[in-house]
Amino acid sequence: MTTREQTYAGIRQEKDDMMDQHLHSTQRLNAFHDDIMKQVFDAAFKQHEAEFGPPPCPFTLFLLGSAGRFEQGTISDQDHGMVFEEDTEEAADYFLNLGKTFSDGLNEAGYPYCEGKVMSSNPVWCRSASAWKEQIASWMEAETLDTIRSLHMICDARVIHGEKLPVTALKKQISSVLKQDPHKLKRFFENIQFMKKSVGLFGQIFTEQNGPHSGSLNLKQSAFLPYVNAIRVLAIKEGIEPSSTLMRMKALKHTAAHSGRIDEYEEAFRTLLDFRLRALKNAPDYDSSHYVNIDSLGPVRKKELRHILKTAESLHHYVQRFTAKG
Amino acid sequence: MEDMLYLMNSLWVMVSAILVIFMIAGFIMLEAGSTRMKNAGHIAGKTAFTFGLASLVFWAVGFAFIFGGNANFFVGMTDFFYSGADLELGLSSTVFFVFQLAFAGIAITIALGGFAERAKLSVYVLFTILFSALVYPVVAHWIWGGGWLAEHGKQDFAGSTVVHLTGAMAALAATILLKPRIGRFNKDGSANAIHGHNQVFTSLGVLILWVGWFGFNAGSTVSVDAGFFGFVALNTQLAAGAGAVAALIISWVVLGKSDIPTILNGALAGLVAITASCAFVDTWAAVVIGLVAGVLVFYGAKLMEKLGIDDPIFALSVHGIPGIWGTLSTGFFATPELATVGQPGLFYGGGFAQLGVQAMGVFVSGAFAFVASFAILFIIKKLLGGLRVSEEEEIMGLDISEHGTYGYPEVFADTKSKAAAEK
Repeated sequence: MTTREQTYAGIRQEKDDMMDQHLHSTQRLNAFHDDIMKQVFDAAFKQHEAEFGPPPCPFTLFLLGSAGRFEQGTISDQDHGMVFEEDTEEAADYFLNLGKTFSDGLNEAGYPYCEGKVMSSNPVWCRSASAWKEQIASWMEAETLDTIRSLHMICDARVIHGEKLPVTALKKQISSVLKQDPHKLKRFFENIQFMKKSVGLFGQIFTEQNGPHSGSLNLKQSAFLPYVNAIRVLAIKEGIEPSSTLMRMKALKHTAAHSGRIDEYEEAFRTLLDFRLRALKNAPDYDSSHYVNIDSLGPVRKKELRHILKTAESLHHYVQRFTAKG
Repeated sequence: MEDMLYLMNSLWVMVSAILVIFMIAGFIMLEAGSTRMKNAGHIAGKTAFTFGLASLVFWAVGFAFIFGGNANFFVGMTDFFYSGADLELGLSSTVFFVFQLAFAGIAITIALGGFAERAKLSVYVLFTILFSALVYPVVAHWIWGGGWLAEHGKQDFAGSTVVHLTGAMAALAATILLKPRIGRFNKDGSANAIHGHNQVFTSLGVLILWVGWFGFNAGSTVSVDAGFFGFVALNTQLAAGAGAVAALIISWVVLGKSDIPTILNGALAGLVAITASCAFVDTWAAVVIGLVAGVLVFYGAKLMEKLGIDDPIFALSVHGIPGIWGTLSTGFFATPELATVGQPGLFYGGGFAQLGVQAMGVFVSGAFAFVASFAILFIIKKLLGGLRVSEEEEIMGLDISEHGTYGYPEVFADTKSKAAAEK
């Protein structure tokens, strides 16, 4: 019999060995991550059932953050939550413990704990359906930067185990408020309003001035997140369910409000994904994988990058105007 | 009436001397703010101390070397241990002495900026004595004491070369011999920012220097004649403002954000640059000189980083490069009416003559200051077995390693001694 440590170490080994074969596309890489995380969950669930018996009611496990959006790089920390049917203390204990087992397993398999504690081992992110409903209503009501940020997180949720319906319900709850309340929509945008300027008046690209990444651009901060955040705001307002940015763009093209605008943004975002994959392949470590050295780019690639950054800025302004209009 | 003028001159220059001495306060704030908390007490305290020490050296030999009679190529040879004797100037000789002493104090303070956060205290002591005796007086004698550059009509009204460049060259020698602070550069040559601990201190330091500069420049008229000091003050202010504006713009354009240390350095660079030319150029030229200095200081700091030179408080980019630019600027902008020393500049039909003199003056003075300082430090290094504190001492900070107490005790003292202090 293998111990639980051996189980997770084995999964980790498989992940590390196979990763390189899945770097061709964001799609393949994320399907691979899903597969690994499902293995971890199955192992964790089995271990948990052996100790505490079968679950007291149906439940749904969902991924958040980049994993939720199907946009993970090679390494990222874990973000996940759980929703279960029965609102009892017994169920709460059971699933919180399951969340802990899963989270420990992920950590051992090479997905470090989330610093912000967005994990189903945290009671905030592991609730019954009715408790979730209350929580979302109260986050919406409070509308502080922190609570809106949590709502943004929920919008990126993607189910990897269990029924999809409970998560869809949570997203619908958020959408329906944003549709009716322009002020809340504005708050949603304000949460992501800060964007580091990365292209100057003369088309110059602002790079890191200090440290080991001097002369490089932080692709995640300057390009990736602005697209992801802005598109999320538009999508959730339109009640679009999928969480990947490309899927959201696809759906936005069919909306009356945005149909004419999205093509330009999508094209730039696809170029960005390509940029990121190359950076991932060449990076010696995770930290470096976010950075692109500007001087190492040829004139064509540099122009592409400038286009990506300027389009991000234009998208950002577009969403700002859109949310301001109400 | 002549008595009146003598007294007025004396009074004005005394006020100016006090303003220049007050610039030491500016350096204390600037240097402490631009460096880390663990070195704050050391940096502040040593700056006051070295000014005191430099004063004694200046009294013993510095003044004599600069202004004494029987001069050889390097220095004058009379009036050692200045007694206060009347030297028959248009103002009280003792006032003139104090004014000049203050300038010598500023020069050594600039030089020691290059030592920040890693040199042994004993190095500060020895270098202060030797620089104040053997380096600064030579350049000052050449340009202000009737030496060979003065004979060529070298224009350096208040000391872009004499004070700022000389100080900066010594700082350069020091920073080369000391090598960069731990953690300043990575193995691949990329630089890390070591941020100063208090930008408010740094800003206040800059403003104190700015105010003091009216003594430095306007006081260098050493007379109240025709109220000309007002014009010098006007040019000084314009260049400082232009330097700050240019630095803000260039940092905004290049970095995407305006950088506070760059803006502050821009104001100082404008002041350093106008120091040579403040009495010789029109007001519009003062603005141009300041603007150029503000851009130079930004790229100067970048250049130092590229060269792998650690210039903790920007002694080289603020005093060195703008000092050179300021000295050369009179070669372009000196007007026929204002060029009481030397000739008008290139833009006023003076041709390349004055520019040539300025360039030669900068080169020879800079080279001398660098070589002499390097030699002195090299000897000190051999004598003391190194200029730098140990790695461990540098990491714990010079407050505790060199002086045994912290500038910010509540931050650093361990819990045991905190508990003891509260009992």
